[in-house]
Amino acid sequence: MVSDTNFYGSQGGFGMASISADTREFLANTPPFDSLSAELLQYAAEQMQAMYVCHDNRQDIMQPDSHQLYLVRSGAYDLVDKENQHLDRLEPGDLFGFPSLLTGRKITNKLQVIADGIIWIWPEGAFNELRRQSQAFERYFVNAHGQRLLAEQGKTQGADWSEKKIASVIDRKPIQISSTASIQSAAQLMSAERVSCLLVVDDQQLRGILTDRDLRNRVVAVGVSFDVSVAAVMTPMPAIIYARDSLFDALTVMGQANIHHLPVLDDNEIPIGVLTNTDLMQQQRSEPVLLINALFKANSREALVAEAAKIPDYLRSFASRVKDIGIVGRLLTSLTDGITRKLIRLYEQEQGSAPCTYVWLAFGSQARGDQTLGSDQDNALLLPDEITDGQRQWFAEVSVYVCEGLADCGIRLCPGNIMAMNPDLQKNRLEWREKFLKWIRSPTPKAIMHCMIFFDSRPVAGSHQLYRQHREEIAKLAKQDMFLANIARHIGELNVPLGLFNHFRTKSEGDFEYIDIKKQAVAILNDIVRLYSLAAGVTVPSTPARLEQLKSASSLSDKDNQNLLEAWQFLTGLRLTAQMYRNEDSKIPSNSVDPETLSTMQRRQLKAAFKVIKDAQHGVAFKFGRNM
Amino acid sequence: MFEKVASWHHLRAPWREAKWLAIDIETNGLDAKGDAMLALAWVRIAPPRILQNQAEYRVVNTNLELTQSAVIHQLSLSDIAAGLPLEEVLAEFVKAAEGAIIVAHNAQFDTVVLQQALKQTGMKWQPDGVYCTLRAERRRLERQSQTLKPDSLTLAACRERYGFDAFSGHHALNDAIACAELFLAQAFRFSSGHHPNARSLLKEGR
Repeated sequence: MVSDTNFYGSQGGFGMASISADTREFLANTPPFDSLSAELLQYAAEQMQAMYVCHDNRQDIMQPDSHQLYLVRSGAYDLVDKENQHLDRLEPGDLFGFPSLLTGRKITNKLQVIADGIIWIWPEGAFNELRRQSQAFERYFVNAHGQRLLAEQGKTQGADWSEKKIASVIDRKPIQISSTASIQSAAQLMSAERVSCLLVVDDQQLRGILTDRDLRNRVVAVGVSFDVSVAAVMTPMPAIIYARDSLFDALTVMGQANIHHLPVLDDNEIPIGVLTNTDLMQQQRSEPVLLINALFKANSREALVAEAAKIPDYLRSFASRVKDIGIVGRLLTSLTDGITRKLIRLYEQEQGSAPCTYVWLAFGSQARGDQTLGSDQDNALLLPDEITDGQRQWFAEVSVYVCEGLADCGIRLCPGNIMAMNPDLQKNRLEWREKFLKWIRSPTPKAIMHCMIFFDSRPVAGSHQLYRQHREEIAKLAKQDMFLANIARHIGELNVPLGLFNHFRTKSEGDFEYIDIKKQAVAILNDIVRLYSLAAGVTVPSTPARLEQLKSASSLSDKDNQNLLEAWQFLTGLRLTAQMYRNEDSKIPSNSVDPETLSTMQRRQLKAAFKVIKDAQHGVAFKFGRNM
Repeated sequence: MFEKVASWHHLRAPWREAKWLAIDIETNGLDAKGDAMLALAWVRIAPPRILQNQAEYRVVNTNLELTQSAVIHQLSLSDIAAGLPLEEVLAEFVKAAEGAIIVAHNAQFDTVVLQQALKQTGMKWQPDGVYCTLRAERRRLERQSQTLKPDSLTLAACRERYGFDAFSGHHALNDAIACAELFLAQAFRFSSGHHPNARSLLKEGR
């Protein structure tokens, strides 16, 4: 198509100009020109003129009827509308003029010159030719015009296999049997269905699991009668996984419990399948498996700590190889979950098993699944209401063992003492209920801050049932207009680092300018999504999962939902990248970036993400703040 | 005679209507008189625009041996072998530069090399004027009574004062475009508040 002589079009009319290497290089580093083939890049460069723009001649550019594409090469300008309202600060690498090109509308915006410089210009014909020849170029401008720049990252993100939802690899319904059926009928069913395990299910509730190995070890070897009921030889209350969890989570659970069959439940606790380690093997073999296995083979605290010490280096090399860096947060969370369970198990091996049911709760980033290497611990214990003081003693001791063990494994103790070893956070269901009720009824700033932490929770070990009861209970409590309005107000007071003229507002420290991606963006976005979740009774902790459940079921429009998800993905990816590749002697704080060091595309996307958060802030104030 | 009349009118027209042409030449050495022209780049300036879509860059096929300056401008023997004969390059240039005012950084060097080459091929061409961005800059800085360091008048140093990026120097086309940008920055600054003709702007860069 490029060899077609009509390709170069008639609109240029100058034939093939010579292209300077500097021009080509700048274009090749500027999205969406970076996506053009060498021939199209050449064409783009040949069609381009440069214009010197200063205060004296600023009216020469952007004539009402000449639709052109503009790219800032040097200098700085403000784009203003006809009422002189500032729309955008334009800096080198920024594109403008395309909305009029796409819509054919008259140009009414004007430029104000902050610093003189050069602006590159393409005529409408060249712009259209590039759009016609390159889908990526076309898509970029359509997205940019629809303020959908964050969707652009989609092309570079491919879900890693281990990030896959378990639901996507379950291909058959579980073969199940009632607990009162005989062992022989169970064996017959397994034989007929050619499966190596059965789920034991009564009234749609999972009671246990029965495997080939159980038939061998607990029936044949021991000489149990085949007429005995399945309940007598099954593994009761087996480890389980939810369909919405990832293969990482499954790997963690299976590796840690050393089991080959893992029942999969849906959100209503109904069994929908069994995940086997063959299923996992069929997925691409990957190194996380090896790391997870090494962690779970550790048979002492010392061995576990030694394996955990390898995690940071491992994550760095892993991060450089995955397409979607967001997966690193999930992996780290999975590892932390696994280490926690392993520590509990090691303690049980030394000191005896837990005296009653319990839940080891994770809060904050571990609960949400967006942990980073610097994240500290946020955990607690949920205990049954009927617990005795004697039983509490066991938990007081295990919590110290686990929290200190986690710290030795590299997950820092929480400076705010939000840890299971804090006696104030070893509560039974009623006590937790009281605590939440107090925050909800008198939402002081401190109470709101606590809610932000404690409403993001997830059970890491122990009884899922106990956790579910607790979580559903507090979800009901949270649906209080006044409480939600107070959270909305708190969110409204947080500063998104996007100033007037769409300009980054950086913090400075000496010579260093930076933006704290965690505090100034991700945390606010999480707060906003949490508020919608509280209002809608959504109890899952991770921000993407919450957004998924909020779809068409809340006051959040699908478009805003999508925007928030894309902004979240971009920001968490950026934050992780910044952290992974942070120079040891970097002067800027971790979780922060200096916008100057970002690529042009990243800067544009960062602005777009901040815009999404700002808009959502206003939305939240409007929707929930009115009840004040 | 007619040319002189045309030139007279040209120089008395508002500077933004004049035909400016930024050029840069790469040679075999730094001695304008003795060394051969290896490459020539030119780009039209139609203030405030630089017509980069009409920019040209030509390598000259010379049979001279390359001296060490080949290292500076990165032209290889094969680049030179693939070049065009001097006559062809100059003929194309003369056509493009007819009745133009030349803009160059350290313009004297370029015009001497150019006239030398024209003489060698028996061609004739005279620009309507020559504007040297280096001299204009020196004049401007001296007016501000700034003390000049030896390297404060390089193309890169001059550009930096107007907020322009670094550029990959010593490639004729990069240099010609870099020089064109500098010219516009100087000219717009000089002409701010009044409407000088080409002639009075030329005095700045003489």
